[in-house]
Amino acid sequence: MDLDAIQQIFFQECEEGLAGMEGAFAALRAENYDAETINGIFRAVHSIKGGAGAFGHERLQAYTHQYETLLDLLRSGALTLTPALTNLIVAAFDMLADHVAAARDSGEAPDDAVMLARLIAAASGDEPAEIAASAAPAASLAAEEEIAFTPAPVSLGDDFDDLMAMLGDVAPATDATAADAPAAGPQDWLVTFKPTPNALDNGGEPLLLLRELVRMGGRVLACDVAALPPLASIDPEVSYLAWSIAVPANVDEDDIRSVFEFTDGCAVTLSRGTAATVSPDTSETTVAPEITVVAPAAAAAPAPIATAAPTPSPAPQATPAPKPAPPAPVVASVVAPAPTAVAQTIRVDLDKLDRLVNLVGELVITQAMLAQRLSENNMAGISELTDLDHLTRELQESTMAIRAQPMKTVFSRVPRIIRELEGETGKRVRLDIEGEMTEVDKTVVERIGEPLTHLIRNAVDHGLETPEERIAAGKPPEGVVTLSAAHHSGRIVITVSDDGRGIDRARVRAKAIERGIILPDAVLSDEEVDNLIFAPGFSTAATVSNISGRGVGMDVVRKNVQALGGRIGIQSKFGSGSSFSLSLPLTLAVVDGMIVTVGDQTFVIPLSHIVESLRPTDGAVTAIGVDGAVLDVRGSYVPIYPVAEQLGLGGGERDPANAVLIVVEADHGQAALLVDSIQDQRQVVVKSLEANYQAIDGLAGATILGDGRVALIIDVDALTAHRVRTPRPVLAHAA
Amino acid sequence: MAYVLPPRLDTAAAPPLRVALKKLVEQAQPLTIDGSAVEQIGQACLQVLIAARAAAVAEGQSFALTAVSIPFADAAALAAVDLSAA
Repeated sequence: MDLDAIQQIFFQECEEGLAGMEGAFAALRAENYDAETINGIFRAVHSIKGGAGAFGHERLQAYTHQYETLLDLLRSGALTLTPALTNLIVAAFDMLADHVAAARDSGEAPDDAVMLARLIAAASGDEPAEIAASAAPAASLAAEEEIAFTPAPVSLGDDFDDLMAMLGDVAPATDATAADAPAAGPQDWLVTFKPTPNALDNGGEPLLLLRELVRMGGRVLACDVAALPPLASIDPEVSYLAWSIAVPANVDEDDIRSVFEFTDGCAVTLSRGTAATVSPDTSETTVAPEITVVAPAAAAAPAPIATAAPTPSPAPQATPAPKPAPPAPVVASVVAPAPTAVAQTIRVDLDKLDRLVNLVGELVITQAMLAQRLSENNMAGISELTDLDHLTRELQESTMAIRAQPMKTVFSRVPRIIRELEGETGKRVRLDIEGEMTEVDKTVVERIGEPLTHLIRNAVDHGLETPEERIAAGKPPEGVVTLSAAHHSGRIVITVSDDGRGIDRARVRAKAIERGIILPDAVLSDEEVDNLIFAPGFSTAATVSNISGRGVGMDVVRKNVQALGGRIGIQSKFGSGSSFSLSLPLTLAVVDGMIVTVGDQTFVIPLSHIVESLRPTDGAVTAIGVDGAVLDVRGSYVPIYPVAEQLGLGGGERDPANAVLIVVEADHGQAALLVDSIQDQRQVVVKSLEANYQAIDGLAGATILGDGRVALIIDVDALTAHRVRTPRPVLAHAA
Repeated sequence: MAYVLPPRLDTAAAPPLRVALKKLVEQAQPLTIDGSAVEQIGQACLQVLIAARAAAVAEGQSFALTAVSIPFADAAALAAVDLSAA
């Protein structure tokens, strides 16, 4: 491996580290964090510093050194985390990202003089935050050079008692599970768990999670009913309860956390320590020798337990706040994650993955061809074929799953965009993210960033009001932008909502009339007015800001989304806010389609556009104009587009009476595609036309059918964009 | 007259349960609840029961579970909720 390849890996790791930090900041802001969160941030910066030094990126190294120093003081408890300090850390993070980018792209490093000064000042305790009086012992511990901290499994055996004695007056817990008192034992985990209000939706039952913990040996200490409203006003489908549970010390932290793996966003905190030792005094002065060492590895302990080698530094520890509230940050310098000795992820070259996916696609096609051939020879019933079919399908699903990435990779860039927007507009924004672990194929992930960014800019720039306007409107000064992703009937739905002004339909109408987009006396539904903002050149912004407002935004967004095979919808309430939802296919690599015949050609119509298919009855078709026709679909008239005509094919049915009409939902409304007949309906692997030939208007790609023929995939929106009326060159030539 | 809890007290059963118990409280009836037929009970209904108990206490009425099935007792113990007579 040459130096460049290694450096590539370093920058990839930087990316991951930065993304992880962004997630940690959200936790810090929500005050829902523990020692591990801060440790994680420190480690990320520390790694970047190390690599920067190794590869000679001096500016980056100098910067990270200062940043790391501050973070080190924070994690050792010498500094308390205040909102001011959090803001500084986040601002420093943004600059770090710039530094990394500059180092990677050999660009100009950012001017960090001011930031460095702020970091240095904060590190010497100039922040208006309370600093522990006992900075001395803590500082000396912090000063210890911790290089490449790797947890090493240590079997504690007899040494344990010595260790515990060294730490002071902790009851030597000889038996990890000693817990007959109502409170938890000194070494036990204290888990607090508060389900989100909507945790009871969709059959959710938080009691089951409690049961899991009990099964692990846990004991529910108390139920907090403080949030429960009176019977008269309780919403019976909302969760109001919270619990504190004691779990024996010998249970792995990861095992506990995995119980809550599938709960989205509910507040779970873990800490070592008893509820009994809780004291309201949260000063960090006492070097409380409480729980700093992981529970003893009882003889039969299943996994080696990691402890810090060699000094299990008793760190000053903030004692947890009283139960019902989430515990105050426990700053312990011992990290006790289960050493997942086997790496759970592996880094793969994208090229290799693409090749694999391609090969699997070819395999699927070939398997279909084989099935066809066998069926022609009346051998389709053999069991080997069924087995092959199952295996191929499973292989395809597994490969697609490998390429699936959580939306988190896209969403993680958003907080920074929001911070920049806050700076530029002076508005205050809170960002709520839901469903960031929803997975989608990388083909979609790659292309969703731009439209999403624009919608977010739009929400902050146009949607949200300034803090003064909001207060005048009776809203909290901080605006809320909600970003969510979820799976819905085989597609992914991404929503960007804001609680701002909402769409002023009167103004939109006026602007549209002014631009000549609609007639002055046009009667439009609310929905139709909302959709006017997607018209090219449309913008009601009084001034064009450099963020948006140039009027080229929304129509480009819609085009981008449609190019992905998606749809965009708007919902808005004037005064309350707006919500834009993008509905996208889960992948662009395969499509469910209806196989149809037109003349001697075979085409595929994507199922996502199809409403229904029918053979027209007498009188259902009415001729209009010279050569047009419309279909009566339960009272409304839908234009008919003969596919053969639209694509300039020679043969093919033209008479609706002898054809099949497929009613589709397209850009401009419903339409009916006229084809000769329907052959089949199945999932096909999409082959790109651009990559193999060139882009053709009206077609979205091609595929190879089981019999080896090529079938072209119809781009429904493009095909129904306009009627082809003029006789095609084919006929003119003949004449 | 004891209010008999149905066997299935999942989240969907919580709204009607709330309506029924609310009516009892409004009618100044003592809240005697028979839980011997309960086969399953989830958080939603436990919440309603806790709230009903609190409402009864607030109105100076009595609240008591006259009988509980084993699944009911298990769930109440698991969730560490207080449904004792008041």
